[in-house]
Amino acid sequence: MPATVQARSPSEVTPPDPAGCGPSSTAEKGGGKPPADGAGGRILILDDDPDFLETYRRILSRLPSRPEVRIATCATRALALLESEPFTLLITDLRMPKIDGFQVLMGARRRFPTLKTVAITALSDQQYRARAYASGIDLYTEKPTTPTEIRLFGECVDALLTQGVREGGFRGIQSKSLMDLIQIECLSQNSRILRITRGSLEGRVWIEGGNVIDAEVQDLVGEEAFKQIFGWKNGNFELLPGDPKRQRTIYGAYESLLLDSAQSMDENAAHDPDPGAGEDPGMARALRPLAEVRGVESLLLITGQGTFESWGVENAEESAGWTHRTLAAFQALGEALNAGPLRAVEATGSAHGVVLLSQNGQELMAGIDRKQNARMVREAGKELATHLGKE
Amino acid sequence: MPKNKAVGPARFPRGSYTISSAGSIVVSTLPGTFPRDRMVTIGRAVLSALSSARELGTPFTELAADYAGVEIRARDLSGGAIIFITPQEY
Repeated sequence: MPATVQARSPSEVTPPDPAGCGPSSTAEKGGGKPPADGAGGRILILDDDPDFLETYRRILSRLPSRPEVRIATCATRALALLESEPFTLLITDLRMPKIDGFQVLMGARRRFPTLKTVAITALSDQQYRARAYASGIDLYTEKPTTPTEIRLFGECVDALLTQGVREGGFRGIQSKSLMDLIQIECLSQNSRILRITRGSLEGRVWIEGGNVIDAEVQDLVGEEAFKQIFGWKNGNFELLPGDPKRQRTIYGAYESLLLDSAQSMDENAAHDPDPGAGEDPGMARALRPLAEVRGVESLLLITGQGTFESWGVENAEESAGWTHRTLAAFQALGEALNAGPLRAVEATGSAHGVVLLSQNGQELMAGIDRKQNARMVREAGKELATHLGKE
Repeated sequence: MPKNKAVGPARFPRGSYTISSAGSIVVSTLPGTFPRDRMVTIGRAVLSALSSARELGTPFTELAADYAGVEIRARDLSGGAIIFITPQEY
């Protein structure tokens, strides 16, 4: 299924409180009145200190973007809120009893890839910081205590909230490049596999004890593959546990590898500009005009029985099956009700949104950016239908 | 010669109803003229689509089917759903 999101939940549904966090954990509406369409964004703050929560709820709800601020005093409650309501930003303390902030961040990043995340801690520790950034957060900061620190913290949060869709950068290391990310991992002497996806392309970089030992993308391996991945200007990344058995193909120091790759990238830049999503070399030709429709983040086009093309879709085979079955079920329902032709099926969740279309014997599932509102999702569906009609 | 009668989608009333996870109707604002079995049929299709998406690991909170004659919009309610029936404007 797509890694795209359209967050709209029934506001009347209150998530359960399985952890029994007690009354202090009850989420409260922020004092800031959000602008129409939630343009001011929604913040969820997680900390086991109710006093801290209350103070920062007040401070953040007065930010210029007037976000709606909700609070939770335990991780279970925070995760339940994230499941049931759309949020723009999660701010979490790192040190908490039972489930700590790292675990929450990992879970939230997996479930809600576009959710922005901020880690706050009372600890000043370089390794903690490196670990936090490596877990894919947007901002790491020590708990602000002075008026100046509070003001700066507020400005950072406001900037994250008002930032639109990123045009470049890697999800989770939004203001950082792949170079920063690899440097952090190597400096921390970590052993990790960095999995990077960009559209239908997937690359992997193996880091062992702080050294880059191998890379792989399509049919390339070693330094060649590393340079290819390094040239990507955007994408999603995931940090996987290291693989000590991986055969080493890259022997140089990571610093020289990064330097070489940056140099190659500069040299190639003039001749081979970074293609946009619509020009992803891994994308099937039939999908390219569809990928240009505003808000579209992933595509799956079923062209015949068992044959499909996809771009940016996880579990493509299962998603193709679901798309086909769902469209068939609603077409049958339409016939039974004499409701006229089925134009589209739209489905939205807290972490994703899709439009399903059936036309000219083809079936399409398009993942739509969760920041798009219902009207925009519908417009995107109409535009996609027009493109499909031209096929 | 008799004129051919124009064939189009059926006319739908406007209203909503809640269906439990077992597929039974809990409460409805639709007029009594709207057949109950139709409400159940719609509810089954909606619940089936929502549950199959959940099984796939991508739960949806809202689902809408846009037909030429009617829009069926549903919101997940912990396994059940509230379903809104809105006739299309001609």
